[in-house]
Amino acid sequence: MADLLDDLTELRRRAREDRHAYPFPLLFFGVASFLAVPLYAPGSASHGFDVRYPVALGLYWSVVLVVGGLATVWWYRRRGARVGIETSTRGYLGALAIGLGGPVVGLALDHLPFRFYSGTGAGLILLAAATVLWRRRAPRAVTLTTAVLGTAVLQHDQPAIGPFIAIGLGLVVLAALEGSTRFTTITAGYLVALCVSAAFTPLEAVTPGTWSLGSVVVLPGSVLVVGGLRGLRRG
Amino acid sequence: MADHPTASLDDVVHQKHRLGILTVAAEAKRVEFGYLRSTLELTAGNLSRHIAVLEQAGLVAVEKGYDGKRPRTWVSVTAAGRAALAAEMTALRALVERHVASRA
Repeated sequence: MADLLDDLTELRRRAREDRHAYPFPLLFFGVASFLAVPLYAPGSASHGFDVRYPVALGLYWSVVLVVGGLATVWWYRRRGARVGIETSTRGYLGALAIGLGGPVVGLALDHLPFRFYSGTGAGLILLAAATVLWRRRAPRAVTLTTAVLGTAVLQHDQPAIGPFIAIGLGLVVLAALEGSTRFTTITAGYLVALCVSAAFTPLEAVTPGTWSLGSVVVLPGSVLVVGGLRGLRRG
Repeated sequence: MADHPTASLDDVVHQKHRLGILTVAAEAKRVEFGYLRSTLELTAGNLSRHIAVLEQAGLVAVEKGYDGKRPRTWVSVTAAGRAALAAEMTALRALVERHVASRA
């Protein structure tokens, strides 16, 4: 009986391993992060997150998130068809929509009659609540509303890393769907890098340059590229 | 007195290969016939028979289609299949624990 349980555990492990397709999204978003660096040239304001071409930067990230998200879904489906075991990508599409919808909802936050004491704190609490609701299979409308609000508040309070929050949201959902310890570890490392990047990027530099603002992409981008390459090496 | 764990074992699910099919299918959205055949090391006929039993019991759903010109059969686990698998695993673990406790 114990042998049967061991066999089933081994079957489960093998099925999970065969489903893994995470190097593609990691490499895609990692490379796209570094390609965005030139768009982080500073604007005229001497403080805060002010880039010279905000529309181009916003457009670039919107295209990257949409194309990257759809390409990831295509990649998972193609791999599933080739290997013979398919991962559901519905949750990832939901996370992508939430990440893209965040900035739109964020526009409404400017018109609120009050301000959060800490927008970052409020956003993280809402996202943690959304995660608990998702795991406990709460009504979808409640989970989605909480996730959209959390993402919007967080992106509104941290505009410099807004696109990376959307990428992170997608990776968290993908890691949960894949059930891969390695991918989960990489995603956790990415989120830590994102927090460090948000906390230490020199937005207040006296003479801001492309690299002082653009350095916000270096740490999370590096984790994505290194994680993707490691995933490729492991097959 | 509590029922012996064997009372919770379901004859349809308990068969080793059918348990394997459910275990693999429960890990994915859907799984292809050829993948199951090579993973479980079964002949096509044998696997077909086990899948038919599971489908008849409403534990898996079978979907036939084409990948280009190649016919493909996909198997996905139903909600009832997930519940049956969870119950089977609980019963198996209880049996193992009981066996270990009786030897201690």
